Amino acid sequence: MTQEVISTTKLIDFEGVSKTYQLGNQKVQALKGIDLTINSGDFMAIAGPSGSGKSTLLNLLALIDTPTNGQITYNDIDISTLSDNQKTMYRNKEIGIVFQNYNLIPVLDALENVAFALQVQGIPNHVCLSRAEKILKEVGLGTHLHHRPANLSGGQKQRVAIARALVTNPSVVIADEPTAALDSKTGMEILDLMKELNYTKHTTFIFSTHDNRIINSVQHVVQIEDGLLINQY
Amino acid sequence: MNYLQFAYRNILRHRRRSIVTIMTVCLGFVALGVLGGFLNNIFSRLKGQAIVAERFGHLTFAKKGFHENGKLEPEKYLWNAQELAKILSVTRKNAEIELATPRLRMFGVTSNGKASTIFVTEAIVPDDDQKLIKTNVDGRTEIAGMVTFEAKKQDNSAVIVGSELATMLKIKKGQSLTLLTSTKDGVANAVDVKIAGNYNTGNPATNDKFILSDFSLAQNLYDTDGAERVIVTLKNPENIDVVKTQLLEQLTSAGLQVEAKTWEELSPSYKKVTTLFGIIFRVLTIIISVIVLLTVLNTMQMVVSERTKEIGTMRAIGMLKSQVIKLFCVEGLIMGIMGCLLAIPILLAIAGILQVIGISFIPPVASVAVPLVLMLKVPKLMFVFALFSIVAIVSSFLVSRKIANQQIVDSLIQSN
Repeated sequence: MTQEVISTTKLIDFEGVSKTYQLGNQKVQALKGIDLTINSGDFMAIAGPSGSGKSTLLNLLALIDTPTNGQITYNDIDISTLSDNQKTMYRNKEIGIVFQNYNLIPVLDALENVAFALQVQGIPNHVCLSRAEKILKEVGLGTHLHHRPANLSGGQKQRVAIARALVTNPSVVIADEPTAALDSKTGMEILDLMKELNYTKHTTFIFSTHDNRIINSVQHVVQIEDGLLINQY
Repeated sequence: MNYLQFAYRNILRHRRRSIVTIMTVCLGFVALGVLGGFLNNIFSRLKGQAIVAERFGHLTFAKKGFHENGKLEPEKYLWNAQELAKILSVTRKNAEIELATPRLRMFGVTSNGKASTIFVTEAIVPDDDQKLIKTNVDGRTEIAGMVTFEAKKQDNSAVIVGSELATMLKIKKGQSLTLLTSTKDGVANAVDVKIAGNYNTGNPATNDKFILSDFSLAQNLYDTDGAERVIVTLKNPENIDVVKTQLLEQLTSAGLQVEAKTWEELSPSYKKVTTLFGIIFRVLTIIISVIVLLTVLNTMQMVVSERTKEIGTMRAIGMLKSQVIKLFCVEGLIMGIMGCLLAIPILLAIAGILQVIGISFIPPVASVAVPLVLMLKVPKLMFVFALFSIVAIVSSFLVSRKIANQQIVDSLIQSN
């Protein structure tokens, strides 16, 4: 049984964040003036029905999308002031991303997929591989280092994706429905793994879900509907 | 990150498509290699024809103005014996000179007793001509069908005629011919000569009027003890421009007003042919390069559209736009290099087969058949290699730049 980290310092701050998409001639407002504060060490779920704006909020949190209005600050840095390259480097070092469908690179094995996040920083290859191996062992894949994604199960792929997100020692890991593509047993195992990492590494975890079992097992839940933050507890 | 390894694995991943791209680059390289090798061979044969068969040597020295006005006032542009001795002495002292030999050229009418026609005679020193016809032209020291006088020949009335002229006048070895010309002062003069043989000058424009005569015979006919030109051949023909400048300076310092022409300047047909084929080759190079560019572009376009989500993932993980572009450029470069490397043994095989088969053909503005072989030149192949590599990089760059600039979220929502 893992314990939960007590959230203390402010890590991310959303102030009046809106996002509007242009779909043909129509404008779709996916987020409507979200105000949200996420503390360091948080283990947080963003819940809401399909089309509520969960993924948009996560994309903005992951800095892979830009808001139409409002301000996002990370560690008191206004993200809008960063150039594309600075944002990319910030994302690489401070944010780990876990995708619903794992998004592993098929021509790289598990070890190389994890090391990739370090290699883009220009860190020497042997250092990248050694750090990647260590983290893969931590997520229980020490015997699958040289398996390519095609030869891994869904749960194993997600463990590789989590290892890849964690290898750079980010402040926050953002996961878009990380258990959605997994069966319920494997899904709970992945959730336990994330909880454990949150506890041992004090890494902030933010993920979207509409699975009530997961919502009930997290420390902090943010509920959104129709692009509005309707509740958080 | 090891871009080479990563790119190589991606190439293997789209195996069939990569093979088509590599084969296109390979075929383009082979096509340009064969055409280039074929043209190099034609140019080299025409060069041999000009330097040896037409006896231009590498450089021709004459009195200043000779090439412009020498035909109108030939006597004005003759060197006397002292001047000739001085110019031969200066040129022969230069370490770059292989051979320096005097020349006279005369025009007139020749007759076999029944029919007459015009002739041009190039008066040569037989011993020197023995050396000239052994001149190394692009690694070949034997020019096919080349004939000259025997060395140390005693009879200076022997001549060698162009094969077309011999056919026209129905003359054979051992028969006589009369040469009617004029002395340097314009007085008519004639001499009977014996046919010592015939040969094909290689140029249809001269083969029906060319006669090689002995230099001493020509001096008697022209009533001079000098010469109008001095022909030189060089030990290192690639230094021709340097030697030309050097000798002009040395001859000027020796008090001689001279001009020098290279064999290329004296052989307009060579220039015409190389210019024409050079244009054709350049146009084909552009066309084939565009085909290679479009093929690589098409392949990369398909690769990129299939890997959009993966690119989005890599960007989300922290790969910079420039790193994405670099990765695709390396993929394009590898395919370009593989295509070129594959083409080299194919080219060598074609060259070897042509060598064995021994097909011959008559090149344009030539009258002698030459073997159809490929003369492959490493610098030119390197140029095509570099060109195709650059083309492959440019194609990849054009495609990957667009995708690298795409919004990450847009890349990530692509469904494969």
